[in-house]
Amino acid sequence: MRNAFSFWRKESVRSLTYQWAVVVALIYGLYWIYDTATTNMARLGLKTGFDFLTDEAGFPISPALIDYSPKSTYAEAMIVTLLNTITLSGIAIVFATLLGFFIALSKLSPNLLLRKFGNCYVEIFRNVPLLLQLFFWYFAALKMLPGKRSSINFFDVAFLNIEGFFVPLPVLQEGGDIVVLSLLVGLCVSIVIWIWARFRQRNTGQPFPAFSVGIGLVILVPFFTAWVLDFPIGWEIPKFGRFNFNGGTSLEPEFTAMLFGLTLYNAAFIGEIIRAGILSVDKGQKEAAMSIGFSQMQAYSQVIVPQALRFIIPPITNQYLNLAKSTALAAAIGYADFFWAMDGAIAPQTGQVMELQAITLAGYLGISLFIAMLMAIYNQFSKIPER
Amino acid sequence: MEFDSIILFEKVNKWFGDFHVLRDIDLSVVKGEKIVICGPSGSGKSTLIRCINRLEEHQRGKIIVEGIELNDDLKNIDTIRSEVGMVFQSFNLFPHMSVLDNLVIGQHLVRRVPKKEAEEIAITYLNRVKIADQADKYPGQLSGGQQQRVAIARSLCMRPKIMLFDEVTSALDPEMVKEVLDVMVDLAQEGMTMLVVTHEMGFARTVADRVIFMDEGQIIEENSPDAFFDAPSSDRAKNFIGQVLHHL
Amino acid sequence: MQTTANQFKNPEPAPFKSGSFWGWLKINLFSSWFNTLITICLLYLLYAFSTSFINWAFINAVWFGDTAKACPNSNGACWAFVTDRWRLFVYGLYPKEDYWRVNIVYALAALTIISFLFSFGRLKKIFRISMVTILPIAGYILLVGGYFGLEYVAPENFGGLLLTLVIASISILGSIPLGLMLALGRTSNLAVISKVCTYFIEFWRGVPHIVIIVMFVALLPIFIPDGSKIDVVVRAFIAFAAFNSAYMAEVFRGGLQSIPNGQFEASRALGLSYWKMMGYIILPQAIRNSIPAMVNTCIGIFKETTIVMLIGFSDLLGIIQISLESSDWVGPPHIFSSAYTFAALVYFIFTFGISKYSERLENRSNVDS
Repeated sequence: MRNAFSFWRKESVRSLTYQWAVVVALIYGLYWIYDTATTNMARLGLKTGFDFLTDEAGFPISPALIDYSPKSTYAEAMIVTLLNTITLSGIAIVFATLLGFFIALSKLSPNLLLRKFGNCYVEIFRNVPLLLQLFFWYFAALKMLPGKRSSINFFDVAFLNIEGFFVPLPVLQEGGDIVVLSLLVGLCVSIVIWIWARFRQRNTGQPFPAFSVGIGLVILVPFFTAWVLDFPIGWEIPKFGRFNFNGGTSLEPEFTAMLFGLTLYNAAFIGEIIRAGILSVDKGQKEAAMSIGFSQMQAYSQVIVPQALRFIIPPITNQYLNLAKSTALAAAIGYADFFWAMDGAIAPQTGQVMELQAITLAGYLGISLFIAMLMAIYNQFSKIPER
Repeated sequence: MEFDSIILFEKVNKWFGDFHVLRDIDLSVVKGEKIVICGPSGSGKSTLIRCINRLEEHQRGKIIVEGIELNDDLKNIDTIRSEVGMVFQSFNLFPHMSVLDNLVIGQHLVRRVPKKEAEEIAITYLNRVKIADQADKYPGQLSGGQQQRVAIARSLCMRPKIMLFDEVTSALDPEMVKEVLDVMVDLAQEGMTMLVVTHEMGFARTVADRVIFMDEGQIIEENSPDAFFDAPSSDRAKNFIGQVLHHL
Repeated sequence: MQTTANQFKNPEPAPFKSGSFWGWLKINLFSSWFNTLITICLLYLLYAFSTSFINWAFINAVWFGDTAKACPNSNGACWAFVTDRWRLFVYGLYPKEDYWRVNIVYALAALTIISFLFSFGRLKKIFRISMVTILPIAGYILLVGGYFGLEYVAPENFGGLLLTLVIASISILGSIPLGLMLALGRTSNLAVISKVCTYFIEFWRGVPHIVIIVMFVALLPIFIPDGSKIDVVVRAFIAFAAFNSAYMAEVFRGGLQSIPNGQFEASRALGLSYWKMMGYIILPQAIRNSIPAMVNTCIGIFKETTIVMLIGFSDLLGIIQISLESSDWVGPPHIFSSAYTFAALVYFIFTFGISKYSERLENRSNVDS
């Protein structure tokens, strides 16, 4: 007997109805928000539109990787600070991964004391909030450095003090470009040797220490060239004038504090991720590798690490994403990152919160999506075929 | 007890923590011998053969393989490992490499055989275990029996003098057990020295020169297969055979 | 072939080398010359660090004082800062005469914790459930007031540890039900709902949390009629609950995905509807499987409360920072480091405690199953 009820009981009817209901509710909700927003904004007399982007910024930004002065536009200010965020994230990711790798090795070591040290490191740096660690580096540790006049002196060429790390800047003098060229030559020769060594091993089975030879070349060739040409690379050494250092360049304490804080904090998490990944590889794999006769190095590099990477990449990408997002905290110690510019510098001046929020969201979402996309590509490449 | 033992165990003892897992093991294996080791679980059978390629370390006693004593000396261990091949219960193929690469990588990196030559050797052995058509597949795409045969071929590519088999059919579905046992029978007929830990009594009867029965870390009985199965001397062996044959 | 039926041997105790103290030392610390080198270096480091730490934290420390002058030099910790200002850290700007209300809430919280840590036999479940329901309600009434003759205290006056705990609790309590709904939505078969929930979740996860909070605080007045009437602190609470629900949703999704397909199939075969299946069969298992990840997320939430500093709220870290910059205490950096060490200790006690409890839970449920 067909009636209204049996029509309703059909699975497809129900699901379609629910979905359409959601769509309608969503559209109505968005419209209602839009309506309220425009009413409120008119009431509060807020300007809209993106014209302000070409107005003069009026505030300085340091560090600035591209040319910037207070006369540049807001748009340029946004780009400079976005670059700062990206650079800080990138460098911190590299250092944190390196340190995390060593922490993982410590926790996997047969040495009990080393394991305990690794454990302590992870527990301490994981459980203390990141902002607190940043404050510690910026307000406590770095502020204990001496003043400019009594900087910590590194062989009279680099100076560490409360206002930064002043280091020499290399200046190419005559013949300097030849040295740089020789570095490139050394690099190319190393790559050629590396390729040749792989071919040779394929064909004759004989291994060749291409890695050590390569490193040796990259260091020795330019050094030798420089020696022959009488070291034509000059250094602009920071010299202390009356009030300040002239020449050379410097790393600001804000940047240093962020780098230290982000690296040490994230290394604890990354160390755990790497360790868990290595432990996830089936024990039998190492045994099979050993019973074929692989050395420890060979067993790890050929069998264990490639498999561990499958377990490591997804959570480590998540951690990198978190790192990139947490750079926003730089605003708390005055480092000129993207969030600081949008919320701390531009917003009070223009008052156009809506547009600024939209740009901020877009900026960070862009970074997140980029990192996620990289991981998806890697995932595709490293798929192990199964039935 | 001497004449040309390729493996010699002298009063070998091993403990796992406080657990005395191998007690005063004396064993001598002659080149070309096929030995089947059986016994209840926990008797130390796997541990015994794993001591031969140093996957487990013994604490007391001497183990001598091909005249080289097994101790902490890494060079000795490496030499012995390249002469001894092992096949595992859980196959342990490298899942991120193709079947062919699984067979090539050991030869290439450990024995320094050029890639082309290694591949030819690999194909020979894949033919021997009758699985050459799967050379480009990955382990995850093969059945259990196929994977185990590849595992055997992988060990054989290293041209070992001794092959150790650790319950290699226990993880297989019944219909795949035969294909693996057939490969092992062929190998036996070619004169390989084999130590096989297994529950497959039929295989033991066909192939073994000697059956060793272990319980609680000791060798309780050693005999030719017919003598062992038809007329075991110790009570434990009688018990064990009774329980196992119950299955068949 | 000879027959050998051996005389049976009894087990012997393990040899001196591996079973005893020296054996243990050799294996764990001195197994190779490289390891020995590392052990020696680490032992030295340990010694150097512990002696200087004990000197700094106890022997040379200044325990009482009013101003920065009490701690003139940096070889001793300046605990005077903590002993002087601890009320501010624990109660924030809460009116002094009403401290007793906060104390009661703290006591109730402690009781709740105890109820979860220890077993009281059959009463255990009733006790825990009642504590978990009483705490938020009593907490709200006592802290905010305005009822039963209690003076109203605006949430703006919450500060220090009180504010940290309130934010954390509200975030956790708010994000769990929301997260569950989002997780169910994301794994639903209805394409529209699934997509909407997915985008929603990924959005919150892709943006820094501080940006979201600023967004809520600044924009809520615009998007909601009379939005400006909502207290700034409450806006922050809403923001916290919102983005944390995305993380909770992922946690629950993981738990849902760990349920074998067979469970769903068996329930359907029995004729259970979607909601009945979820409520009786799937969710009880999924939630239990999610607990470790959920606790991890809770620890993260607790640590993240510090970011409210950037919008001017005085959580524990915020109020410490403000006090450090106040005229009485502003001074050399070693006072800062003492204060930060104290703060780190407080946070560490909470987070480490929670993670140890979670480990205990995991071990127990492993044994059970």
